[in-house]
Amino acid sequence: MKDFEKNVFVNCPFDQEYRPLLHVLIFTLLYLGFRPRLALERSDSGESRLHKIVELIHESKFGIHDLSRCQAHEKDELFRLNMPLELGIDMGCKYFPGKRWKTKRLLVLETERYRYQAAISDLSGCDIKAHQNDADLLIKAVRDWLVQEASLNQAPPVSEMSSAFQDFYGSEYDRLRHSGWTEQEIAHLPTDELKRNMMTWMASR
Amino acid sequence: MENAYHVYQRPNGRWSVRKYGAVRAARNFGNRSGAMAFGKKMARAQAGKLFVHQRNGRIESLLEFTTGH
Repeated sequence: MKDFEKNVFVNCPFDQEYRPLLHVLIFTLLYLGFRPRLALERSDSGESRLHKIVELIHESKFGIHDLSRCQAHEKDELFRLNMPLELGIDMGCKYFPGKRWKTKRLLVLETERYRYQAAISDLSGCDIKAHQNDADLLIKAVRDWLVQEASLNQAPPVSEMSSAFQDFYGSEYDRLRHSGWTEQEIAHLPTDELKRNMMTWMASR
Repeated sequence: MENAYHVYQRPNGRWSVRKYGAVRAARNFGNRSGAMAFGKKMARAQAGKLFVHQRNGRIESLLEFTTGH
């Protein structure tokens, strides 16, 4: 299976509030030499979303699942169940027969440290990292997890990756603004396009 | 982008100003206003830019300075 060892399935909120953290997450994975795989990367309307997700999980040794939206913000707002569902599919793979599935590694993220326990008590006892909606804490959680689970040698420190992300984000914002993009257009730049721009920026350094 | 600076808050609550391309902060501050004042002073002196980041990385604002302002 092509790139199985480098593919990281990213299961996280795709809303505007989470968007900068999604960009931090993608940037961190690329910076460390991994391939972030997201349901957003393909937009074939004829393909069912669940089929697409199962395929991404199938192709990825690593999975990052952010359960930050396990709590509704407003009265009568339904909390989102897609992320726990996708975590369940990825987690279930580890129990399938076959050596490949036993090598799968998962990182579960949350905004707050113990909030998930009330929502998904079956995860009690699992190691869950809290990022507090902070870019540096998110970079640290992903970096440290990959150093351990992917046996990364000489991974750069958080400060280096954090600085590089700020520099990229700033130069990208400046470039788009001076190319005539509106704030609204920048805010809705397709994630896959931004991912390609990150790769171009990293290659040019 | 050589004359650009970033203002941002660290996980420990302190605020920092960092020059574009550097890994370490130029100065650290106990509050946002101190970091903003220093960031503006540095960017203004070099007719540069100042990016202000939120904790999640989002760019809150971009200030651009030209010579003589």
